[in-house]
Amino acid sequence: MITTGAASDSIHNKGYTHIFQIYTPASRYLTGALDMFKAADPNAKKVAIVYENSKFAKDVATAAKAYAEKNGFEVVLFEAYAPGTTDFSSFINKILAKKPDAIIGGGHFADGETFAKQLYEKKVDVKLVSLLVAPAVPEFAEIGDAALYVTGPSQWEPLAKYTRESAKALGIEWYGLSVEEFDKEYKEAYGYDPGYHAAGGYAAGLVLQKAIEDAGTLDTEEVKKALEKMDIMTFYGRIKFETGKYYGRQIGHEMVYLQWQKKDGKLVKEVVWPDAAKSSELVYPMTTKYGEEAKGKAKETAEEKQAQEKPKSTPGFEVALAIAGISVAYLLRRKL
Amino acid sequence: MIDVWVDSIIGGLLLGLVYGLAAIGLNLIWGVMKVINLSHGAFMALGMFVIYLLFTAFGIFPYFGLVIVIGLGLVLGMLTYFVALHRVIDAPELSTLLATFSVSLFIIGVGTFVFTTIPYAIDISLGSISFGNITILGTKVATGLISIAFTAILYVFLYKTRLGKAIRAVSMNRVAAELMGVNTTFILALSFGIGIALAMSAGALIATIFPFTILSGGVYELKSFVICVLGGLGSPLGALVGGIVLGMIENVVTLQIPTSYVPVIEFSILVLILLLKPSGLLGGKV
Amino acid sequence: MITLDVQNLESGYGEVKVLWGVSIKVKKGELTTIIGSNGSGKTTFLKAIMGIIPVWNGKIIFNGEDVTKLSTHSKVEKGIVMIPEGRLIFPEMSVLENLEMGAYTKRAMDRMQDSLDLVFSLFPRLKERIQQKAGTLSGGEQQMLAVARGLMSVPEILILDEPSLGLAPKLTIEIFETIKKLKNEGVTMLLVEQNVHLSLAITDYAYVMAEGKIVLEGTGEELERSDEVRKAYLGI
Ligand SMILES: Nc1ncnc2c1ncn2[C@@H]1O[C@H](COP(=O)(O)OP(=O)(O)O)[C@@H](O)[C@H]1O
Ligand SMILES: [Mg+2]
Repeated sequence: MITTGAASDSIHNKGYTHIFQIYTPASRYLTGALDMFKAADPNAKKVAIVYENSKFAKDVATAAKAYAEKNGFEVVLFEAYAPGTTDFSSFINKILAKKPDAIIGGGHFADGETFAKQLYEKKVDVKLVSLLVAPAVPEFAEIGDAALYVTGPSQWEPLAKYTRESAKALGIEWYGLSVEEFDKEYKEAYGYDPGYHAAGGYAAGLVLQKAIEDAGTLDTEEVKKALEKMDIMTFYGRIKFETGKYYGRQIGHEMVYLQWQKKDGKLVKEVVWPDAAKSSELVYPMTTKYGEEAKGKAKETAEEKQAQEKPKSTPGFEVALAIAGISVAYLLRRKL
Repeated sequence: MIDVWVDSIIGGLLLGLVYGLAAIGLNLIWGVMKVINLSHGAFMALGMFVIYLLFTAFGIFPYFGLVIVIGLGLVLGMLTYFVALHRVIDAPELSTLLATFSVSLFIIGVGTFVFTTIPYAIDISLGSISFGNITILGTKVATGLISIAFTAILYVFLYKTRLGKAIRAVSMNRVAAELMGVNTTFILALSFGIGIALAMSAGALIATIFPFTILSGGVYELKSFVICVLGGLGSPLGALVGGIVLGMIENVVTLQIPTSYVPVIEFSILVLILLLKPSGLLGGKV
Repeated sequence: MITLDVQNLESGYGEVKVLWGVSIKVKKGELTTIIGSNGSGKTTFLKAIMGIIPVWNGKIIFNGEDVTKLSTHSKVEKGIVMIPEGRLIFPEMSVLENLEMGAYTKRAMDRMQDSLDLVFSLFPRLKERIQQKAGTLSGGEQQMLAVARGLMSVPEILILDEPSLGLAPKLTIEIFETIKKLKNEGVTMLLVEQNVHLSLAITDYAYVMAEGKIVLEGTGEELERSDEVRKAYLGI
């Protein structure tokens, strides 16, 4: 089975021998951000990791922390916030106290958007911010200048420039249609731009097709062997599977990193990492924006805003806590 | 580093004042009616959505919209009293607890149907005040000041007006107040109305600084309970102080400890105060 | 002139009947007293008159008007004022605020200044303590405050439920002197007392209640001379 939309690492150390992953797994979701950071500023050291206390974000953050420490960064803050958090003041205070050069983390859309907004409102002076999920969603632009120069990972973007040339540079085979062709045909079929979910899905089909062609048969074990050997470049990026402990895990594909930039006064997403895929240069450090803004007129938008993702909050817990508290209050009052 | 502390203290203070305002409503309802209002959080969420709708649909700037929120809260609260509470007001506490809980379920249920549980936000800005490395948001300053103003108004109302004194009299002894010629049924309804108006306006103020969902009230309701116990049930000033303590814990103490410990600390305070000083730090009657 | 005419009143708590058809009359300007041993239903009777507990049967006529079904606070507005057993002052309010609460009704508010003058002339000690929290007053002072607060309501009829309860003998005599003064001022009063000797001495008319019924009635002198009262209540 080829999985798409599943980014967990732990699927692959359960002993399953027929599951192959298309997405870059959680363990590498934010490691690219650190590579990008190092490339932009070899002297930068201090990183704050602030992430949502959910399974996925925690996996991502934990892996990023290990990677950061291995690569000589100093993780000055590593803390989780509760799902559904709306007030990031205490985290921002800590960030102000620890003075990191970069902030990475996040979780889902709503919290990431709020975090970015409050960082901006408090004029937090960091050089790079990279958050999960939120920056990849078009609605992230709602927060206006707070979104500017914020970066985030995405499995794939139409802007990603994977080409036959980049395949050649890596010395691997190119397979399937080009990014432009995929983009065009998708739009013709559905009437809107393809997102990474669509690209991942298409890539899964493409990979299976290639494996069957390589195997020359529909026999499961033969196809499996072809997948094990596969190392190709597609419009979606590189594809290669692990055959060791985490059998079937994706090790070829890399996250692309977007940055919200301004083109003709409008906020747009640009792919800034990795070099093989980038459509624009990373603006670094991001705090240049406070300077730009002082020059320009600070215009306040007061328009309706509505976030897209359901919060993963658990009101049941709070209610239970409140009821427990009241019960305790009652019992104690009776006794005293 | 000192900047960060000052910044956090100011932030904690401003936030604590809003928490205090919400708790005062809960406190008033408990003090006068001996009702633990489990619909407090739901009404706070309602306040958030009312201010949001007033702003987005009618273009009423939130701070002016507050006046409407208060009026609506008063009416809704009194209506709720007569519909849900009046018949069980003399029954054991469990009945009123269940009655307010069902009101909460109703509001959250209808609210979820209408608004779903996705987050909303009111996007306004009053700029910010900066000195040195310290940045304070205008909206937070506004919510803090308005909370103080509301508390002061409530204080004057309770201590200086005839109706306010009647409310305090009912909180001390309902039968005695009735024997003075006070229509205590009306006073109970009014107190619930004022409590709800405070809850809704606190919700509305919070909505101007943080995003919210129809379920957001639950978190703030829990904080209100802690604040009430901390400051002493029945004491408006105590509630304000309790609110500030909580704001400080969330913003200042967290400079030294992980933020995820905050609920644990809050809950420990609740239990400790109940064990050691059940009347609260500034315990006493309205 | 009859100020208060209670006819065949029946009432109780929950399923338990306490009052079995109690009838009394209070004449304008007179002091009427109900005596009876502990638990005979005196307080219950007053509560029923005030509407604090529901009337099951019977009628309450006040100044010729049927007020049986009125709520407590409406009765107070009409001038039926009760000083409850156990005082029930507002402990966290100042003495002055307590007195202001006494003058809560529109009718009483208009005459607040006169009432304050009257109250302070009767209880000069309260005047010294107007800013003090009522809860910090002594028992005797609290009882005086309760009486003073009742007077602030400008009563057409003042109902007192055991004002001497729990007071030292000296203070008891003081309270009875105040009642006598009020009687001389022409205040219509219904007094419930266990202090039979002192109350019969000053009352115009009295009823004896036992097990929720009126068992004897007459002027103060008549009852003081009656064998039954002497045996049961005066221990002679
Ligand atoms: N709140 C109450 N609930 C039930 N029974 C009561 C209550 N108050 C008084 N009683 C009962 O009613 C009877 C009369 O009590 P009460 O009117 O207080 O007597 P008194 O004032 O003459 O001492 C007593 O038997 C008493 O136990
Ligand atoms: Mg009695």
